[in-house]
Amino acid sequence: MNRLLGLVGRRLLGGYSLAFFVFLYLPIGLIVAYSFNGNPLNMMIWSGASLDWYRSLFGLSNSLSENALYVESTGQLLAALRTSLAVALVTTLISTLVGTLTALALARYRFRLQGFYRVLLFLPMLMPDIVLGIALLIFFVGAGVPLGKGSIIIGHCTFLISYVFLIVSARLAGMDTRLEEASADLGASAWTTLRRITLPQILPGVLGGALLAFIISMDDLVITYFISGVDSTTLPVFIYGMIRRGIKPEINAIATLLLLASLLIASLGLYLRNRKPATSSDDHAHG
Amino acid sequence: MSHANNPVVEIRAAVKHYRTPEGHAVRALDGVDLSVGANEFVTLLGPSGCGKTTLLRTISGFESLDSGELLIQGVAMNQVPPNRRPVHTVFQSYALFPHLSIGDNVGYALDVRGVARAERRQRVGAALELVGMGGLEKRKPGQLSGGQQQRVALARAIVDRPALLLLDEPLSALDRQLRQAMQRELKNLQHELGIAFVFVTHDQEEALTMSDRIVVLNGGHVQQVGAPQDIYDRPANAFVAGFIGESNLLRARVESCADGVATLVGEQGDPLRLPSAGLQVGQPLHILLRPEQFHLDCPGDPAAHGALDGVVEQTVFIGKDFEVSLLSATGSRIKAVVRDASRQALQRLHPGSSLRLWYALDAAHLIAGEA
Repeated sequence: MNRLLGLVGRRLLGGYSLAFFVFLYLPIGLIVAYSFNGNPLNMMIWSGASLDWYRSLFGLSNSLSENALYVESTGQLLAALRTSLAVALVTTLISTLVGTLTALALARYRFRLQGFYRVLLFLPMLMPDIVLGIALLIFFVGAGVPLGKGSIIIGHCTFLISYVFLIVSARLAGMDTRLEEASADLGASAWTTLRRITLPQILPGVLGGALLAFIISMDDLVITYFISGVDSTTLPVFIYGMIRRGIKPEINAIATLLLLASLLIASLGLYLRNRKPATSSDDHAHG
Repeated sequence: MSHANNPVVEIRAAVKHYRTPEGHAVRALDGVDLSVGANEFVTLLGPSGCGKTTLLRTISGFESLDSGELLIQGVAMNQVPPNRRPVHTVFQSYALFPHLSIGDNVGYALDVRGVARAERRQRVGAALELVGMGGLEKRKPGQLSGGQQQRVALARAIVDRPALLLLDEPLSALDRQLRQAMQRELKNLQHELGIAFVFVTHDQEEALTMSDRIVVLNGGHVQQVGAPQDIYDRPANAFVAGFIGESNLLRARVESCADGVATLVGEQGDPLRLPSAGLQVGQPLHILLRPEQFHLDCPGDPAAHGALDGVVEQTVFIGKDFEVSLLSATGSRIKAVVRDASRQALQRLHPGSSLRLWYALDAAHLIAGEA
């Protein structure tokens, strides 16, 4: 009897798990499937496999897209992608640098109001995007900062520094401070210790933070929507604008490519994580 | 003694306070003086919290003194950061750099000083050879056992021949057999290198085995400084007597002094006669007796020996010797180690039987006691 219940239970659990993953991945799977759909007018109707949307993305001529009547040109779309990439790269660079240095300062030095600064650094992550977006917009307009790539980069950095700070801080907290003492004890200056001991030890955290910052920056819509100028539209903002006028099939191809890029970046992150230097086996030595 | 002429380290009146999380001030060092001579093996010994690690970290530069002086090779070091001190530390946790190979770990101090590649390779190889780890340059610390990591940490700290090596309980994570082997090796290595060692431990056996001199610390104070045998045979106070080796402390009082002979009345009321040098009538004393100083039969003139009566509580064979626990008439517990007990003598060691233990009065060490 119990065996039977166990069997039924396991079946139910299996079914539930399956349903869960279908729910999670079916929409994404559909987008990937549609990106290969050759029907230019209604992408919900399958009319044979085609790589035309990908071709059109890379500027190759094809029969379908010329037939379709859409406001946005492929050129605009690619420009938005370029803006996104440029913004994400610069943002990643700045927020990784500042976030890592901030984490180092808070972890390795003692100063007044330390806890307060720590809270200040967490806050931008908790702040609703829409509030941050409006606040930034009002600030930029008030301060006379022209809206464009620059304002987007500044805006993204305000909260991405927090993300990097958080990840690097966690890594630093797990690092044996004796290693830095040992380095100083052996005659190394603070700079040499940072370069040869601390940075290699926290590198997985720094890279993880950078990858996360890049992905979030590429992906951000709400904040960017407020602070992007007319001719500096990022990809998410562009796609959002496009959808309001109907869905251009290239979106499916872009989405699929973005998905692929995200997977690659995530895999890279996982790879770097697993490849991290073995933590010193001295943990058990602390009696 | 060489350390008197040319000390590697000199510490005068060192004071260091800590504030506990509850806000209490703790004196980790309370007026500590210490001098370590060239090529001397000095052990800082004491229970945890006695200030020994603080003292060590003061020398390496990771703690600063509230007041007092620290000189290394005659140079005041109070304001000198750790990386500019001619001192290296072997950490309790080894603190090997996990991302660097063994060779790069050992060569770290040389890299920092910009030693040329060929010389570096030669010196790294020599240092590893010295600790019995030759040829393992390419390995990573994670691939080594605890004992091997210990040796690498040692090689890393001696590769550029510092004036002084500090060792912070480096053997505490090793198993007993390995620890004893390493004790001998460390002692030999120190002799070979001619570097002064300051070794921190809470293990009195370790301290007695390896040291030229032992500094016994408790509560931020130096309790006694001396050669291992001095400290063992003539502890300066009850704390040292209790901390080093097994000991029995018997209370006594000086009854009279005449012609260089003092008469003491012990706990049991028997008068004991001892050389009276430095003793005053009425002075309370502790008589320190090591377990191995007791005899089952009076070995000579009864006047030169004291006796203790009691009931045997327990007798344990500890290999070659018998450890006897005796409950004395006054209720104190006496631990004695008896050797070569004949079969007849063994009868007397049965639990419950009355027993008289003898000790030579001149073997007894007197410690000033509290009234």
